[in-house]
Amino acid sequence: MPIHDVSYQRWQGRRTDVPPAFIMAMAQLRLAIRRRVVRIVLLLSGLFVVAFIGMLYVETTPEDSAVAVLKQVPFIRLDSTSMLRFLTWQRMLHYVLCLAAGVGYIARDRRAKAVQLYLARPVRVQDYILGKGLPLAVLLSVTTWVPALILILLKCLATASLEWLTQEPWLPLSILAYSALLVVSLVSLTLAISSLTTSPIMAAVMLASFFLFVPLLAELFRALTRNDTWQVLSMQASLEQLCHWLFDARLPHDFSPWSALFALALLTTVCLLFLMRRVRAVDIVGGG
Amino acid sequence: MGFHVENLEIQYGRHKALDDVTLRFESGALGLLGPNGAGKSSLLRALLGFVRPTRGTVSVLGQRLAGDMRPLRRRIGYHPEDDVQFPGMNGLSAVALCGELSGLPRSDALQRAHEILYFVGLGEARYRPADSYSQGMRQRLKLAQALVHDPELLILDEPTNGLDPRGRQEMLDLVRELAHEKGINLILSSHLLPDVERVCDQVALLHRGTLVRSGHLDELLRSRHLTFHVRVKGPLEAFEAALLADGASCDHTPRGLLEVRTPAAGAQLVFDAARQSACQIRQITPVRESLTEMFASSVTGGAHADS
Repeated sequence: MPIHDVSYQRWQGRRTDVPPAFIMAMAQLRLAIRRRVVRIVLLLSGLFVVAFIGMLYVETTPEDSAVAVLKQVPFIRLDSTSMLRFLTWQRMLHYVLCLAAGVGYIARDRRAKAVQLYLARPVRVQDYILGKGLPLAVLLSVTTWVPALILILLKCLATASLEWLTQEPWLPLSILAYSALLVVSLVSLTLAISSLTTSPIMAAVMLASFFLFVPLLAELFRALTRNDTWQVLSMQASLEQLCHWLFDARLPHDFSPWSALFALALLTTVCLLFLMRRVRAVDIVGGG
Repeated sequence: MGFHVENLEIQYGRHKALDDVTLRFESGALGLLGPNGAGKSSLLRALLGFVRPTRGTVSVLGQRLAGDMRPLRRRIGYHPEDDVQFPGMNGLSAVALCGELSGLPRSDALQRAHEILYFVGLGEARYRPADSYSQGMRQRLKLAQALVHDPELLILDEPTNGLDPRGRQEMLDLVRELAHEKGINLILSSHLLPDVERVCDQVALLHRGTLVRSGHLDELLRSRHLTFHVRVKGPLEAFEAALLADGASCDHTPRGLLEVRTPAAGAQLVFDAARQSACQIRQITPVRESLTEMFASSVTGGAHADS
């Protein structure tokens, strides 16, 4: 293979100031969407949206229509309760997304020693973490607040009125707040676990164990001490509690939503601090 | 200016990787030489701001390393020693991503990536997943990633590692072209002396974390002592005695020549000895000491000094 096909040319262009985290995120998203499992999860999430659009159609159809009889079915109604249901049903998909896509991001980079390749560029550690977190945040957003807000918008268009929304004016904000909590806590946890190992499979096993065994442990402590507060240890229980609180629904657990918020904030902070240490130390400082 | 380090000390725990190193590199091609563990990679890491010096100062491209390193890193290209790659990407995407991260607009980064991949000889393989590249192709890919943003300073850490003789030759040709024809300042870290001798015009010899020698290659090779191959007609024993008396040393080569190593006086001493011993000089050829010989003598000298 001849090595000199063209000679080296100097570049005379003008450099841009696009944030490196955005560039990394776009590159990572392009890779993530190529994965079949990610596409399947997004498709399943899309099916939920289609089902809810069907509900919306039934809800807004005239009384004399053939499908109007379906209006008698209690859950065929787009309101805060159905939005809560929509987001709760999606939760399993969020975990699958974290396991299938997010948990491999840093583990794969560590295995391929790509961290130093990034950090030799004008990329800071926080840019790197943000660049790895953003793609997962986008994927999670596509299954949370984006379709939920689209459904609200569709209902507004279908009813040609904002009257129903004035009865629950906090609904869009609740959706955004819950989604933000879910996305930030899940992304930071997934990346922190991803940075623990160089094997994406091992990282996925660790994250799955966290999702499975921490709630079991919390349940065990609750049973032993007969105190519901232990359930705050479970990320899923905390998210569920906050979700119901934000949507003004009956709380499923017997602990304060503020405790859940504190637990999630603590988990996120610990994960981010841990990530800053891991990405700084790994692959860069080695032997002389 | 390429870089300037002064009284640089880097310590990992109790291990001192670099100890009081002062080195200045203005422009051209600098070879960092030294056996494994000499501190070459630590020096490169310090230049890139990956490690904080325990003591001393580091300036790269006229800018002292402190605070935000991002503007400086846009001007530096780095070819790491490790087998590194962006997982899951093809060659083109990996190089274009490096360009974008260094501030090139996306369209320019893509165009440059195509050009550079052709330049390093990966033009035909640019759409293949980088994971499937051979060792030699990965080295070329790393060079392309280091070059895509047209750096002012190129740092190459063992670029010929794992290459077959032909690949090594081609890689060195590329690097030599960059340094001597394209005017890119580069630092080549290697333990392979012929590589450095072929590409670089300046060298810095590191041994056990200290700088043993540094300077322009020609001057370093000339400065130690001058060696000549001499053929004379006349009383050879008297000629040798005259040389020894003037402080030179002699050896007989297998080709029947006399190898004369002189102190600073050089060829004049040989002519003086010939005049004194009434010999005719029929041939006198200066012999250039190889970098390998200089390296060996410097390192041995350093080792002796240590003991």
